[in-house]
Amino acid sequence: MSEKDANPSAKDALVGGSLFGRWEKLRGREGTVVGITAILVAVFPYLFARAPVVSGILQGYQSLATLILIWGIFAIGFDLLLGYTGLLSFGHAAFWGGAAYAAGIVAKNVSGDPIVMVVSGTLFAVLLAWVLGFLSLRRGGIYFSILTLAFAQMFYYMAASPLAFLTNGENGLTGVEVGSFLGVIHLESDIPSVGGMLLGTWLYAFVGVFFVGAVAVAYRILNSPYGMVFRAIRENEQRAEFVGLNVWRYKLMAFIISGAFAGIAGSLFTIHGAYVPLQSLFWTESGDIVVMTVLGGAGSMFGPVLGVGLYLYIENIVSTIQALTIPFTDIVLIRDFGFYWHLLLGLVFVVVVWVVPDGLWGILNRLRELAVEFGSKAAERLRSRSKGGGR
Amino acid sequence: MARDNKSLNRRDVLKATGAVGTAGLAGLAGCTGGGDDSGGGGGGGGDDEYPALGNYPIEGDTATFGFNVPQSGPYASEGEDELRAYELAVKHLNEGGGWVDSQFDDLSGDGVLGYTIDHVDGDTATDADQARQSASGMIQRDDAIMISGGSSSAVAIAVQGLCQNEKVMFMCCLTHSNDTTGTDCVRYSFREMFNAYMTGQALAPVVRDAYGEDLQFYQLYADYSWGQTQQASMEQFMTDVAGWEQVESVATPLGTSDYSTYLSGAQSSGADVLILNHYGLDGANSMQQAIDAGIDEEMEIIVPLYNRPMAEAAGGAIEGIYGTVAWDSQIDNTPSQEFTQAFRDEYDRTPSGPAQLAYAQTLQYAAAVERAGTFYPPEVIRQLEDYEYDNIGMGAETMRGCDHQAQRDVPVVQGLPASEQSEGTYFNIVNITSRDDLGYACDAGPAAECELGSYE
Repeated sequence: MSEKDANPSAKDALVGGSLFGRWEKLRGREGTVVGITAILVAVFPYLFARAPVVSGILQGYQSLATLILIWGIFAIGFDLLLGYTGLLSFGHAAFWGGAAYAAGIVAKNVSGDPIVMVVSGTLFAVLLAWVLGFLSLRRGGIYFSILTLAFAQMFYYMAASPLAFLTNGENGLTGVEVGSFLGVIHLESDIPSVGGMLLGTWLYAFVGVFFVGAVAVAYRILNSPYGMVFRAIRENEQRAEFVGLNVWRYKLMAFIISGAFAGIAGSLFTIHGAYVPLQSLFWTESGDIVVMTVLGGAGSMFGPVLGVGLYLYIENIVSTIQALTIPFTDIVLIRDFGFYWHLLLGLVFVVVVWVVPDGLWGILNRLRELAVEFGSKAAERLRSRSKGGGR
Repeated sequence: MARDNKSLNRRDVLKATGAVGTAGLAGLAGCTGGGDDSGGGGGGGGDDEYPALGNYPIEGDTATFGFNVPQSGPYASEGEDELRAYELAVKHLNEGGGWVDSQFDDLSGDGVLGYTIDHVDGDTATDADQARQSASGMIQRDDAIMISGGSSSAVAIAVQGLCQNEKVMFMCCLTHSNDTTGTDCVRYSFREMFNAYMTGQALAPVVRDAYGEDLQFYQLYADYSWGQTQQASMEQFMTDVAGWEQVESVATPLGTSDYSTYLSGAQSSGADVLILNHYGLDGANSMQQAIDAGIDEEMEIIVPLYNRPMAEAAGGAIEGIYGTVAWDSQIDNTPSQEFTQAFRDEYDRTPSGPAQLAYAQTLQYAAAVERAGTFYPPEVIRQLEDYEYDNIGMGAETMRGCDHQAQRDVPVVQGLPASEQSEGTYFNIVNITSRDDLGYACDAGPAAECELGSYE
């Protein structure tokens, strides 16, 4: 699926000069992708939390919109590793949580400037990824997954107790005071005028800029020769090695890049909550990101973000539905519906993996292909009919 | 992405309502008007004398409480009981009944300040992160004016921190760590439950009288904040008050399922008393395994903090074991009996300790609102600080202003044998240690590290 995403020009010949065709040409360009992402990021919180009818149905709220973007950055980075390089890390909580703690500790002891927090958290995650990658990538396949899991759990237990003087142990890192951005803008406050209506808070805008940046960087990497090598490694490691590529080095780099994404996300998570829960280092966090990525579609650029959205939506909104009613009536179908959100999430996951292994993005892709096919067929029919009419 | 930096911090533009004076920190909470699109209109019951703060003023004529309890995970059954009590409290606030009629003179049984009380509930899953998400949904989407809940100290600490930032009040339910009203205390949170420190103080004289002086004790503790503070408090008071001597104190990883190696270490230490500082399922496991290993025949066992799921899981193993509980339905005074009766009438079951906390904290908040004459949080907080009361079944109490920790009695209990246990009855109350023998000054113990933060 991914090759098609990255390289849509192959289809252009088929579609011809119609509107579709023009769109197909534009679709793959970096500028288009980043631009559309920016627009979606700008409109999303409005639709989710404030728009008249839509938000009433969605039941969203501002801080969840921010959280979805933060996890989205994490998922994009994770997918670089899982979807494109074919390495299943089960220890990304170490980078996410590690960066969150680093950012929080820096905020408490050095400076609460959001930029400083993000930079220090990300640096920490990159260094950690370097070390852990160096150690874990010695083994492949399941051994690699287990090694990353073991290292991450090590960090969890370290933070829980021996390092409790730094991390505040089980209670989580409290008392993090996030300073104002550039010394003037309180991230928690609302943006004035139209910006406020669309984006809501400065915090969202801050995270949104990182999100769009993350998309641009990931897109650039994936469409560069470097990203090609990642995919080559995924498809056939041995062959890549025979071609003369230093597979180990590329894998390490993929691991570090994905660690950096996790680091940015983790630091933003601290800024968002002004608190770091100990659970951010726990293995369930690593599991969550795997589930989100696979749910959305591993090996596609935006799929994992969709996965994040759906996962967090079910976790935070569906779980609060107290009684499931038939729309526009008072007939209760299931009482305490939200109580079963774990089950619902499990079912959704099973169905998606079973029916569409390439995830939610795969569904969208298929719909798009259907539309294109339908469109071109219709165009052809039109053409042949007009030819017939001419005769 | 609009980036005009003309007037910062003015969120008023968003919300068409006028009369909003202040801006600043509280920005995030007030602005999201939930699902409904009407920005102006409403206006509420007309106490506009205070500036907007957090979710104040309330729009419409319904005030929403958020009940954030564990509905999945190891404490689910405890959370379920808490939720029952919360719902009962809401019902009594709106329709009268229970303590609203008999114990709380401030409450009318016809809503609070003319507002009908509504509630939303959420699942903490005993996970600090999840609990915060759930609470922020309640605050931002459902415009909750007060959050309550708990069953884990990490959760309570995480959520009360969020509530301080969002300027929404938090009424702690079950949280036993010293830190909740110690290093991590906040202005917007109040705790009725006693803490690990007080458990140590309450237990020491009782077990000294029961088992004698000059004994040696051995501790196992769950290796996280609560376990550590709990074992430190036990060491302090068993040494100072009971005059015992600690042989050793051993950490066990959180979530251990097999305690046999730790227990055999305790068994061969030659100590007379074993203190198991474990809670929840860990507590049930370690206690059960200690009994199975026959330790109770050679040593006396103490479990500092009991809860019902623990007692249920351990069954007859708790026979004769000393510990403390939040509250128990057998406590013999009018408020306790009334609550037990009201709860039985509604749900046909005996309320647990956390249920009493949940019910009391909800009414306590509502009564403070009535006394303040407004939902404006700083005024409500001032009403609760240093408030003295004697109406929730735990004797005379003070909600101390310096750390927001209730100064109250602590019930010491002993587990019943399996044959005498029944649904809701697992303990025998040995002593209700008076608050005069408990606690610490505002500049001592955990309170010394508490800085409450700002009202606004």
